Amino acid sequence: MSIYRPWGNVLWLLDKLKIEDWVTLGCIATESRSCTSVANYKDFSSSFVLLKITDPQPLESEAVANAYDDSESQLDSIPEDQKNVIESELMATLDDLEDYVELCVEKSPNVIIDITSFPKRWFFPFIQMLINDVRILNLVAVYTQGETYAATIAENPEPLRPLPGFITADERSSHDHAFVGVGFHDLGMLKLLGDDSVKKLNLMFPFPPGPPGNKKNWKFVEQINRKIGGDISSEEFSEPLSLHFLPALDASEAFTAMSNITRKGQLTSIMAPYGPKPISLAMCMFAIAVDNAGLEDVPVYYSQPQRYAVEYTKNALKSDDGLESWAYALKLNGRDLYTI
Amino acid sequence: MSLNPFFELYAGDRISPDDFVKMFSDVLVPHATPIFAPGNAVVTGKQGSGKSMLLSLLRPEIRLQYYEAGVEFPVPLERRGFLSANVNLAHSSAYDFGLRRASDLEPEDVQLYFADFLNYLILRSLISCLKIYSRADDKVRKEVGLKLKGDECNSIVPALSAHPVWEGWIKPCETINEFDDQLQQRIRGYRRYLHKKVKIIDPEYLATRTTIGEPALIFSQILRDAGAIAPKTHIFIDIDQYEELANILNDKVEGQTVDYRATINKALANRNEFKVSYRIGTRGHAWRNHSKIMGTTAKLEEERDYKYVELDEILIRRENSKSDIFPSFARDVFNRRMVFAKFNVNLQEDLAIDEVYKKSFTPEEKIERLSLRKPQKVLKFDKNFSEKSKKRLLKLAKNNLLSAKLGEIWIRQKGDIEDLDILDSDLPWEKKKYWKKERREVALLQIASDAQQKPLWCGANDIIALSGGNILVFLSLNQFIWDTWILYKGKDSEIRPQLPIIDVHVQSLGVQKASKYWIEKITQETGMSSERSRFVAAIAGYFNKKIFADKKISYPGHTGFSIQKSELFEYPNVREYLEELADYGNLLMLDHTTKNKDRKQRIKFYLNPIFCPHFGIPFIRTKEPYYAPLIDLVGWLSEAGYSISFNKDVDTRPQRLV
Repeated sequence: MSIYRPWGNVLWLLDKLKIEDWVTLGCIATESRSCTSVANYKDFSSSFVLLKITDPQPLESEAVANAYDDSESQLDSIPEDQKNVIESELMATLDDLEDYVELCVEKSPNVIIDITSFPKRWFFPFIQMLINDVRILNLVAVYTQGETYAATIAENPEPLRPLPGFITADERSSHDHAFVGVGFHDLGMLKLLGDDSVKKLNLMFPFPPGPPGNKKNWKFVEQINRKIGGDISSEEFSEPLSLHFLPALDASEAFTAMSNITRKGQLTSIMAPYGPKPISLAMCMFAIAVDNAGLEDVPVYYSQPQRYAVEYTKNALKSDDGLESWAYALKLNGRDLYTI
Repeated sequence: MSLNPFFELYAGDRISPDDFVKMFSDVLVPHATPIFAPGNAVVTGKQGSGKSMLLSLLRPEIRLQYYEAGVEFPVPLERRGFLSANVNLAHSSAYDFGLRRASDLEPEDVQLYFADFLNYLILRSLISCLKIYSRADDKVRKEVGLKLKGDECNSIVPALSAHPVWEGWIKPCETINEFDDQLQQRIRGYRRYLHKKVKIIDPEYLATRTTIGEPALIFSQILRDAGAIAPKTHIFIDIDQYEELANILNDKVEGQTVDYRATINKALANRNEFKVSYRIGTRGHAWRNHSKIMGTTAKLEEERDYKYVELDEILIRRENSKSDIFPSFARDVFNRRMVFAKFNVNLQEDLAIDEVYKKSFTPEEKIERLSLRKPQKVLKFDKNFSEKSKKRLLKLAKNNLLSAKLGEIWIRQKGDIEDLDILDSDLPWEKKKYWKKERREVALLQIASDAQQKPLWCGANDIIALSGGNILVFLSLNQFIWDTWILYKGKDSEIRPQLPIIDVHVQSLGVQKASKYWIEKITQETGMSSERSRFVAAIAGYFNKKIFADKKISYPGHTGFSIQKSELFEYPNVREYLEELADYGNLLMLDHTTKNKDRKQRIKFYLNPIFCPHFGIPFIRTKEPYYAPLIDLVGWLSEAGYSISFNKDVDTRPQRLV
């Protein structure tokens, strides 16, 4: 039986859920959309744990400080006693992350995690902890789209390695499937295809991408193709490489696609979450679901940048209907919606 | 199989052992003998220098594949007596110790856990190697010096599992699989702790931690005592991706850092009688600047603690090109790829590349291939040129544009004082062979630029030289050229076994694409890659401007810069930034014999040749580089975003470089 996984406009979904005491776990970043996103649904939430994450190698300290101030000022209307703003380093430990989750759990069993500006190094383990915490009854992830992206969104990647909490404990280096989110930059992910042996490479292509992502996404595909074997048009090479065109915002569909391709996690897989955040969210949920089903775990590899562009996106994206901000129900009434 | 013989860039990573045997070139093996000789070996080289390929020869799977394919194993016969372990630090979660809060532990404590974790990884890999060889045929086992066959491996397990080195954590067992399961269980325990699948580390681990390198020594001792391996058989432990340990940021306690490299170095410092030695693949300066040993103030010393195999040094282009190793290496690699792609090539000769690309093109030939309609238009005269000289040069340009351009440059430099009404071959610049040689590459670029055309980069020798001594760059250049050729040729590109001849324009287009690719690739690497990328662009822009503004071509060598050594040592942050640029292959860093009267020692830097086509600057190093004052260098570094301080008490380097 298939599970209905509600997702849609954040205000619509939160209104439908009729839960009053949400705690928001959000990120104050230099890009203004981080706080625009939180400010948009703040009336649904009664407390806020907001993390201001500092890069280890900031380039323009003054610009960074000013951008943080501008961004945070959007949350001035939230009463101080409801806000807990904490500064932390990008390379914080899992123990630090657990402490922040604990701050949320103390406030409420209902958590909104705003992944809009959280680095993957943070939101992947956060969601893992929140899903697996029986004290959490309701969990919703929020993602707000950006207007335009900086030419270079991130710099100085670390070596490719598993995201915290997302490993294969048995050092498996051969996998039936690799899922790679198609994004703007490959950073160091091509190394993955050197170190691990993968029978089938699945590129999760956001479709329709629209400009300017379109060109960059195809360049990403070209780079991967160059690495794995050149001739994409050749019959022989169409077999190990598959392009899956997925709606960029539909985490549920991306999750289902991965579940179907791996025969509900029976086939082993590995992930590289580049590209749109909702697709990364689906990868995160899939890796957790496989782990919780007691199947062979799904390592998630990423080369963490050590610096993000101050103006990662120009602004939050708006349409006539308001902010392009989406919410994904991950857990409702203690029931995990993304399972296999 | 792909139509492009260079579809697979790496012959050490993803490639199957079967294909490895077909593609591997053994040209470098005689130059890297310490890898297969007793004692520790540190192999330095940039990514793509061939480190991984060479170290792959230590792996049992690769050796067996040679035997199965009936191909002679490229390691000298007298060096084949070894078992080996391979630990890939990135893949094994060794980098992940920083994921847990270290502040409630002393940094040394974290290092001790790291050492224990590494020991178990090494032992597991050794056990795997033992199992593989025990199933191999007699000939292989004889070469290795392994006396155990199949299940006979179990005979060493009781002694190994009961040994005190495990501090009681490993329970006595009878079979190699039971022993392996226990090793795996401990490793899993660490991984689960590091990734917070469990809150705390198993308390038993604290009391049963092993000292770095000890279990491998015991393994060796027990095998020897049991007569299971020949006395001459060595145990080699290859630690892969050691270099990236420096790029891992960790949770830190104020004023203290966990030094993982020092932990591994301690294993190298531990000389032993059990013929256990380490192979470390790393980047050059990253190694030299860090040789600390855990728990002591002593440092590792070359020759005493390890042999040094400097692949970049071996492969770099010499002043005397006859002693170059890289061209033979590249030519052999090319040949093997052609054979792999089912072209008819004699592996004993290395001429296939010349057949496909033609050996070389003279600058005159390259200009001819530009097919300029009105070559005379390229010449530029000012008021200092007499009408007679202008007429002579314009006439000359119709037949030999390069000579005419050099004539223009000659007059700009020396003045219009000579009678040019002589034979072409007697023209003064034609008689000054060195003057001409030093300037023709720049002149060629100026001609192409003035004609609003892209210069041509073609010919086997140019392609090899553009690779800058890096086999990965060489393969990538070929990959782009063949991709371009396949695109133009379509179905005709599938014809075998006759080698194709690839047109110069196709070659040049491929080279341009490869050049752009390598420049874009800089930012995808680790370390301060965005700063490095901006620095490369800054100096390339500077040299490009300088070359095209220098109409007299007075400084044809200004495609690189030279800095006084003493200045670099005075400002360690500047020096280490440059060293990182060299370690990642963005710059070539060479000792420079100064022409200055002060005779002060200098170091010269050039862009990696593969970047030159994209930036439109010559890759051939002639004449003196630009003697850059420190202030210029600091300007370029600042433009690139590096943080620099002239206050010697202020260290602006990121923590990982300290």
